Amino acid sequence: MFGAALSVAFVMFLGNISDSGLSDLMIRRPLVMSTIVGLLLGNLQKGIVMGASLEVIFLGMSGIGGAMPSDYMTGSIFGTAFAILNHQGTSVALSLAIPISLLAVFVNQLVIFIRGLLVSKFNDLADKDNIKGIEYLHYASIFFGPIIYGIIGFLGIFLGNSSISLLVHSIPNFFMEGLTVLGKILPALGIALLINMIHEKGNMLYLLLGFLLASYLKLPLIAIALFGVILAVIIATTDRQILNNKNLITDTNFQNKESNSNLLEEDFFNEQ
Amino acid sequence: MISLMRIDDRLIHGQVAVVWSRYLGVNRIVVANDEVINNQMQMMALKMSVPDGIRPFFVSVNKSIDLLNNPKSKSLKILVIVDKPLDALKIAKNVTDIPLINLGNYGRVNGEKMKEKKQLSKNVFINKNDELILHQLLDVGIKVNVQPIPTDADINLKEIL
Repeated sequence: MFGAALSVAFVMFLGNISDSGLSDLMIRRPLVMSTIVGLLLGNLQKGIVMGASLEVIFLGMSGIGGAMPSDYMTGSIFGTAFAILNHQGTSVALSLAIPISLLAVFVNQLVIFIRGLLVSKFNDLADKDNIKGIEYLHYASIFFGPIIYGIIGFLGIFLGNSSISLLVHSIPNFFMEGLTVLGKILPALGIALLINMIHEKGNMLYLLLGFLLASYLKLPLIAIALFGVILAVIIATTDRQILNNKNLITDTNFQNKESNSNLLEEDFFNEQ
Repeated sequence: MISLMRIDDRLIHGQVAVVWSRYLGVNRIVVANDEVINNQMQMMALKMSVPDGIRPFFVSVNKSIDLLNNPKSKSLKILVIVDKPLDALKIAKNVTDIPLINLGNYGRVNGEKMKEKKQLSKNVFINKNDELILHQLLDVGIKVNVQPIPTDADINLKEIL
């Protein structure tokens, strides 16, 4: 258990520092975190499957400023770890990940709060022209959060696994079946949350296209995803071309500075 | 048509760009500010946070009044953002169809002594001068509320000022 706890602590540390110290490489997503947990705990395949299932559920979740609706990173790491350590399936991972991710928000709030307290310290150091001090404090505030997360990861598995194991094994069978069904419904909720964030007149067509590809042509998801990649590259290339042409036009307009203020109005009222 | 005028000293950020703009369904964001239009760097950073389908415009306060009073504005849905009550007052006095003024975040980031300020809500801190201007803003007759994001409680400024 010690090794497993250490591995989870490492993943928690890695995930959190990717946000606070590495400009958020998006490796905090369940898809990546669960895969790494699976790799370290010796069941890569399970890790990937659980990561993918959790990813769809948390697809639409993104924290705005300090307001994080649920800490999907911590939830998916623990959910996956507990499920693998107790030899359970995806449904257990899902049903553990969601409550854990809601609870873990408080840890995040605490870390942000403590970081906020450092601001006056930064001001003091700036007043005293203590550049070295500011530098050290920066490093401290980068590493402080990830270390807290690492400790939680370690203690959560080291002390918590036996009670979680007891809990998981005492779940009656009918309840487990219910959770499995729920696990199949939740991705719909995840997609709905995502659509709520990004819906736009034009881009709903792509959703419909994907749906048609799946339901009429019976294509597997990976095939649809690959078609999606090709489509994305085509559209991005044309968009870039259009943008380039547009910039050419605006550049020539800028040479004529007097018409500048009219240009703004024209641009503002131009439907787009 | 103006959907909302917001006073927020951080101008465009998550609460504005993602939450309010989606909630109101606007297609234009007008940042009316006399300082930011001279700061290319800041404008670039602010533009980055605006989601697709919404176009941000950075104009001086006077220019914004012209734009908003243009009859063609009726066909657009506009979110106006200013960073201080004084600019809001100027616009409110000169533009007719503002349905609501929203006081979002104010007074925490401009480096004045916090102890001398009065706290109106979690995110709003005002000094004596701000208080005077907010009273004048209320006198214009447009409803002013204090509400960081749409899911927070809608508090009327009249009741807490």
